Amino acid sequence: MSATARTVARGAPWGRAATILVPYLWLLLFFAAPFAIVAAISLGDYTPDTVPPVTLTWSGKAYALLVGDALYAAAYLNSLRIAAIATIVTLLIGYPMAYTIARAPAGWRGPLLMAVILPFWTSFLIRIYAWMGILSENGLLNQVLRGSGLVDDPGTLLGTEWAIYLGIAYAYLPFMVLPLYASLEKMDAALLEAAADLGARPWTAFRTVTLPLSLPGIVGGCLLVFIPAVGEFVIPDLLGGTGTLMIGKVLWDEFFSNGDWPMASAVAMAMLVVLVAPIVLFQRARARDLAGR
Amino acid sequence: MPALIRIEGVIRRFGDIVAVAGVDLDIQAGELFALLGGSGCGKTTLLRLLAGFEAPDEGRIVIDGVDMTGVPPYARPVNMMFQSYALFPHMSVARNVAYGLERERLPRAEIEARVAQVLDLVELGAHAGRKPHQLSGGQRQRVALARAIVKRPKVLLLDEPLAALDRKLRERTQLELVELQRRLGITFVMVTHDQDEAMTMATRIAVMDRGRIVQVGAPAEIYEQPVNRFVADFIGLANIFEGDIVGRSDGLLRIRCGPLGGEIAAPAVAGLAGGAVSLAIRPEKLSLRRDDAANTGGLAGHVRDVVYLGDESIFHVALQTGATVQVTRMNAQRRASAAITRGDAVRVTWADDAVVVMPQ
Repeated sequence: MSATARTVARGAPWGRAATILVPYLWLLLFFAAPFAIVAAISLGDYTPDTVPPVTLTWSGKAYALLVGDALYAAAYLNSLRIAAIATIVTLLIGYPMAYTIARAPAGWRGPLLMAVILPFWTSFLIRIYAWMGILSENGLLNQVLRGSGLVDDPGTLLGTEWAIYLGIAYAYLPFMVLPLYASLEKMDAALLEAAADLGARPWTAFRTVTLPLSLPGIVGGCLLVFIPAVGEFVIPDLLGGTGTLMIGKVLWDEFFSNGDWPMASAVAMAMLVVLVAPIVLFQRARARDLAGR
Repeated sequence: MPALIRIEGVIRRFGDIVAVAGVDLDIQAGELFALLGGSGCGKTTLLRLLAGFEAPDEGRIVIDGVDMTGVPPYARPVNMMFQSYALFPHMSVARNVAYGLERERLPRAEIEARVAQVLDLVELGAHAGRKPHQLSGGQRQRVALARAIVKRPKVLLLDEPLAALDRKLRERTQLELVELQRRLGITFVMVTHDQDEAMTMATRIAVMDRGRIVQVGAPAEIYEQPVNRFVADFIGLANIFEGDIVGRSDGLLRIRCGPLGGEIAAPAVAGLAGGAVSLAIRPEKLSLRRDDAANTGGLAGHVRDVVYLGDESIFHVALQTGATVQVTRMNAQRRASAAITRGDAVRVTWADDAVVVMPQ
């Protein structure tokens, strides 16, 4: 017994240190280091003739251009707007889904949640391509609309902002449904009975009890959709067509079309700053939710 | 006077399980009525049927002359105090209590006045701004009570109102609830599995078993004249035997009962004239004496065990007839030197009217 105890006692500080070290190493290697590199590049000068096409200085010319050219501000605002609308659309679709799953018989909840997550088993890119097929001018949706005889000229959804909202709502739905489900599922059903008993009709009971109690889930789900949607590139590129200005696309163009590394890095840094506010909000909401319990 | 609550032939099934298997019951205005039974006897389902959370499969419920069939919970003149209290965790104490009044769209000033008044009544005026999770169990219980009575319902339904409190607090709260009920004049219908609680608080008790009401009556009636073995056994302690009616004399039944030493006398019961019956004798109605020259009556036996409870003791006596009976005795004297102890030879006696005769 004493031998074992001694081994454990000797091994413990090492084991503990290693356990704490692993996530820090990970963050250092895959977050802090790349972040520092991107920050350094963003401050450098664009030199198209060198490889890589950047000379490290502290000039910050890219930032001057970022502030000076209205295109970038417009792209950021447009991204925030599209992400916000798409988040609301996702919430409106996700809330009833999460509510239905949370109120389903216990044996049904697992399979229903599984069905929500199931599309993740197929590649994201392939699923967005599939939407192109559905939304294009002679795609599935228009064929059905024409075939039904209700609409002669349905127009084309592909290439509009609506296609982007649809794409984001579709792709990010699980991120909305899971936090909502978690907060709705733990709600005591007796609370709704108490509300009804005190004279609240079903809609009032929902508004005054269910909705406020699921607020942490709403905030969590919305931020989990909104934050990646702001920087989303694939969906606006494939479904939104050429007219849509989003910051993810601007970043792509700067990097791959123009080869302007400092500009692309500056765009990325600015995007991070834009998203810090909602991320801090998210963390604070989570902390409050944990403290409330 | 017509009953305030009239339950007529109510049946409620859940799949193959019949939770309430045909209940007829009248509850008068001003009563503190207890539904008493073990778990799964249907008492909570019956309460939920009154609140409107369940709908009867058959039969109907009438409250204050209005048929409640199809009336949703929010439109019924009843309020419920939940076993879990079901306080809204995101609202302060005052907002919890105000919730029901806000649904009636009363003027703000009136809501505030009534909330303050009812919080004073339950002595929580100082805690109006707290959230439920900042309160103790006893305080939460009183918030739940305040929220349920602030709407001045015709009937207050209480689902195991004191089950979550510790024993000392529970005993004090029992009397406070009775006092409150008298002051407000609201009819209380209470569900409990605790017979002491029902006996202490209720004006009438309905004993339930397997979805049916077995007996309805005042606490003393149910204790002294149980209608069958189940009730005699469920309420308090009872010595129960089987016997046969063999005749009548002087208004008393003559019953042959081997375990009680042959033929005994018992008060007549309407509807029982002959055949096999059950007999019950409460332990405090048996007397215990030392078996010596001065005491010769009754049945001889010896004390097999003594359970000391402080205020009283329970003696387990093995009779010479082969039966075992329980006898309780108040410990009126401190450590009496003449105390009967384990192994002593004793004689057990009782009065004729201590015997309760029940159909078998």
